[in-house]
Amino acid sequence: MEQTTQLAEQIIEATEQAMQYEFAFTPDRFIDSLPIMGTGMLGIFVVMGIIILCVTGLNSLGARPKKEKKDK
Amino acid sequence: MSAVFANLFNLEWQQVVMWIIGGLLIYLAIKKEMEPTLLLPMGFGAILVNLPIPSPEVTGEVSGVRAVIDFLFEIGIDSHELFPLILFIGIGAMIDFEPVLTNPKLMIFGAAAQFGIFFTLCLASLFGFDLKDAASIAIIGAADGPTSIFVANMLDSNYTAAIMVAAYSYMALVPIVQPPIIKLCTTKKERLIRMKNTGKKVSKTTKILFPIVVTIIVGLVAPDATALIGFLMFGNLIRECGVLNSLSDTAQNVLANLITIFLGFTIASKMVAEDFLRFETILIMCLGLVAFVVDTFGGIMIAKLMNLFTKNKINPMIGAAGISAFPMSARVVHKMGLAEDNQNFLLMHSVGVNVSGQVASVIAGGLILTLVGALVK
Repeated sequence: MEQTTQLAEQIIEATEQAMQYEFAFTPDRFIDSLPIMGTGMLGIFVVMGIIILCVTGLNSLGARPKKEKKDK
Repeated sequence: MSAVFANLFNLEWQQVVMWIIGGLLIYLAIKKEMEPTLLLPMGFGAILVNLPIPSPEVTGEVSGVRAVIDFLFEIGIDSHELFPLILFIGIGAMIDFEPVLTNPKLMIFGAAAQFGIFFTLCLASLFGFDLKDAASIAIIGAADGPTSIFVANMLDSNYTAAIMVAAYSYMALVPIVQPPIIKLCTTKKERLIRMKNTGKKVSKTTKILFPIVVTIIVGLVAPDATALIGFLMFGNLIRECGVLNSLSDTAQNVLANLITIFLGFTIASKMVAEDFLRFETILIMCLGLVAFVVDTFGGIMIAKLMNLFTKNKINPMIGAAGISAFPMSARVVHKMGLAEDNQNFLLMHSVGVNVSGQVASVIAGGLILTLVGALVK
């Protein structure tokens, strides 16, 4: 009986703990986070763009024809 | 006799629930072969840390199973994010960047497929999470375990364990999550688009210079991503230099396996019932799924957008591979292409997008740290 009560108390405690997080819609926070989304996506495209340019440059350097050794 | 069973009365129902969760992870790892290298150690660790043993904080003991696992967490993750970074050397050594080097524009898809991260950040903020937790949850969308661990830990998130579990679970579930989204976002005609293989070869010099150049660029533009990209590219340099084959082999196999064993086990140290069994964990799992879905959507949509302006049409399915989960995502796209047309080989393109996603996800992680880190300090 005592154990059952203890278990019930534990369940109540756990439920209360779970209730501590209040599921709430916070449009203010959402609006505040929008600039992060914009800046972040812009940042990724800029960095990847720079990498694309560098790779294109590396490829064109690597594609330069080498002087063929002529075996005579 | 009662002393033998005394510990049994310390058992709480939440711990039993965690045993079931641990058992489920082990089941998924063995029976379904879903990321077994991580889910199995995590599952076993979840059972281990939820045995009714007093925690080291209570007893003050410096030995015992919880103390050892806590110590592993402290040195391997908490102090300097050592395990994820070392694992990145192994991952870097596994990646062949040739498909993307022959066709650099594929990197655009990798960038676009990170949209899910930032979308989820906004969504998590809307659901009441504070910025550092919202950003940590969002990084699940990087579809890259080490990056998720690194960012969540750097931002000192309250939900590190749930984030890690979500990140690895969804990576394992890529073959289930992505196909319906891809089908939903593309028409049959688009899925039938054949893409020519460029057939270009990349010089060894380019392959060697690529990791060095990328490290320098990322280090200059997104300094918070330097550790991640630096270790990743170091691994790749070992692979491509051609004179360290033995080291490359060790990094790809022994080193990566060793770290993976400890990483999975260490992550489990955060799967203690009182921290894990919360409403937020379910919410985080849902948000993680949203991140994966929106990532896939972002990659496909940019491919469709590019098709409006390019002569050589792109199969939009390859955009989905930008999600980074390497190499599962590339395989999914390749298989879907073959299912539509058994002569449509998309593997080279999807692998190229996939490895670009790997780089882009690391950059996204760095940008999150830079942008959010500055606001929460």
